[in-house]
Amino acid sequence: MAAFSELIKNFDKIRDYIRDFYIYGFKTRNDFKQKSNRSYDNEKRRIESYLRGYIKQSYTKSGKQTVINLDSSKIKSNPLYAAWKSKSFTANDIMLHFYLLDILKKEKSCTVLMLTNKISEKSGKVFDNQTVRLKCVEYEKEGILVSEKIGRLVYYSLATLTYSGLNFKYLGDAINFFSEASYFGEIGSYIIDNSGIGGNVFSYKHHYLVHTLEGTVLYETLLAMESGQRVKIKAWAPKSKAFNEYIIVPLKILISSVTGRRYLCFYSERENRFGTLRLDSIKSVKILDTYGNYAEMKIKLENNLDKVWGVGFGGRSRIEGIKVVLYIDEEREKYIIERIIKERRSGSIEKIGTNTFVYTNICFDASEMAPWIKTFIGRVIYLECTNPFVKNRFSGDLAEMYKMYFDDSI
Amino acid sequence: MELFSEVYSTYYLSVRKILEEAYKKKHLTTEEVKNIIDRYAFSESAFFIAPNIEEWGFFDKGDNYKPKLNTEGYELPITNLEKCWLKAILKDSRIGLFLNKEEIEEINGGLGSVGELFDYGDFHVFDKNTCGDDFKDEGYIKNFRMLLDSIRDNNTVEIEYKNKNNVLTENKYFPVSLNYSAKDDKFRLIAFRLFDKRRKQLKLNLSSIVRVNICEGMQNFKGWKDKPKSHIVVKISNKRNALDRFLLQFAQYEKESSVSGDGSCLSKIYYDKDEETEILIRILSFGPVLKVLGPEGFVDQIRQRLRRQHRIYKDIY
Repeated sequence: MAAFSELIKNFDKIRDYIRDFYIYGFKTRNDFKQKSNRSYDNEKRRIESYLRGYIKQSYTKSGKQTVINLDSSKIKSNPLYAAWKSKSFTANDIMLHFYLLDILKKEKSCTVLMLTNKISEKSGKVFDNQTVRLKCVEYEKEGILVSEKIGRLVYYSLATLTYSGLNFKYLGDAINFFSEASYFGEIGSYIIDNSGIGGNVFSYKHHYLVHTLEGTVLYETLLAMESGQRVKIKAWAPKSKAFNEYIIVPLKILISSVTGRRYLCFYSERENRFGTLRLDSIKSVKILDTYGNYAEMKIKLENNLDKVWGVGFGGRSRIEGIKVVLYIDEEREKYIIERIIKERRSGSIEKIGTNTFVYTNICFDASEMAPWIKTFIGRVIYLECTNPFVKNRFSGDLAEMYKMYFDDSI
Repeated sequence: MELFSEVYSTYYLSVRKILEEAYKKKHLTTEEVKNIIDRYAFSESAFFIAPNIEEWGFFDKGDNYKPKLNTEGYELPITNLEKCWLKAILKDSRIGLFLNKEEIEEINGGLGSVGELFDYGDFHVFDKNTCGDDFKDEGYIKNFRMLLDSIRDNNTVEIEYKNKNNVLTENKYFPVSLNYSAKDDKFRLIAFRLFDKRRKQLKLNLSSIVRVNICEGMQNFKGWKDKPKSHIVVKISNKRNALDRFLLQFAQYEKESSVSGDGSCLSKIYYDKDEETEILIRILSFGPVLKVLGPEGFVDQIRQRLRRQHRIYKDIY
């Protein structure tokens, strides 16, 4: 039986567990039936180790719950980035890493043979040329080393650009900020670790820490998008409770800053339509061949985005119109009008009478607007939609809420 | 380029810190080595790193850790992955808050020929508010940087502020942090007002700050306390994927959740009192798949809105 190690070879292994412990804090060991007990215990132990100080445990009838308990308004640096810093390595990897850097700092430039001899001499361990060569090639790819061919020999030296070489007053603040407020923040966190940037003065609202877990999926998808390639996606389908495979053309990443959901927007050649898949449902991305009409399809999508309220590209009716008449006290409730202007997207608002305003919009799927309209409960005088489902659902929801919050009559 | 690589691991980082410290002090004790690992790596890492560190050949064997490597001024070069990320963020619309055009060009040049890791055009945040801050406004940038300096240097500031009634006010504050909202695309200054006995934490919109003066010699006050959190208890039904939607949307809040036999979930959410309206709106957006059980004051607010809705809605059946 292999001994337990904190480190992991594959990031995907721990991704689902962290998500479950963080988002669904109520799950117990029995809820992870698809995995073995041993696998659950190991991953739980790893997460407890990575996220000390953020783990809370409680006992319920169904068993012990492990929760990653975070208040993101107090977080200056995403603790979940710890999982990105858990990659396993061999003794040779770590030895070569530090010996290469140590030797090249002094010697400036060496051949593989020179490096091999020096490392063996200094460490007392014999390395063969091929092992050292492979590490040099790997580090050149990563940008840590650079090579130069002189005659028939290849000389390696350290890349010269370090963080301290970038001497700008607010660059450290920018890295602190964007490591939380931009994409692939884990990379910003790597720079912070390496350079020891301190003095983080930022805090965040509407900050979805869990997005970092989708890093690999996002990275692969963007690579395909950059070169206009098809991808084969394996994603969890909640309705069928199984993984499905899709061959699609990835076009854009759609993000909701309100709900925290992120989607891959794609074109399906088979169905000749645009669609979306939640990024957190995607298990793997395999880059395939080039899609010939990529630029054209991307323009087509851009031309349609103003008619998408969220991520829905609609059903048969294609375009749906919606009209909501709202009561707003124009003297005392100007902030409501301002809020609608900020949140209206492609819709428009117009005054139609004293304290009466109408919001109108057309989009592919008006049912996506239902949650937003419900935020105006208490003000909706009238609702009309070309899709009768939207109005019926709104009225039905209201009736249910009346029942929920008023025991007898309202 | 590898996103997930041992080069960025906490193990490599803590070994580097051990080597640096050992070189500085000539040798380290076992206790000192463990302390460094505890500081930079995971809670169980000392069990794995400490026994191996001699095996990896970085130290002469013996009672004390005497380093074989000279790590003075050690700094890993910026990797290609990091360069690509830096190149991408230099294109962000908010970068002007930190760097001017010439600085951006200089950094871009220094980063060499690598491409950007991502293109902001590949992302579309479809529900971001349209009235975000103007990050290109020179006055805004000046105030932003002064506040940044004052928080870092622990200084008090004098702020001229245009309040919601458009009236100019002037007060001294202890700045705590610059808070950014992705939804609003706005910065707010979290601060405490000087001489305010309640020591109430305030949020000032950066776009409403007219002028900032750093008060030299007035060190920031340390006696402030976090505001006590308010809470609500909600029952989330198992319908319309509500559980998944709710838990992700409220993931940013500290919460306690438990699930009952029928698949519904009880969740206690902690939030800042000044966010109450936003919480209320978010709760309403879920409709009947979510019920607030308490406290009574919050439930009353929902009832009030429902009563008003019942009075004015023309098409209720």
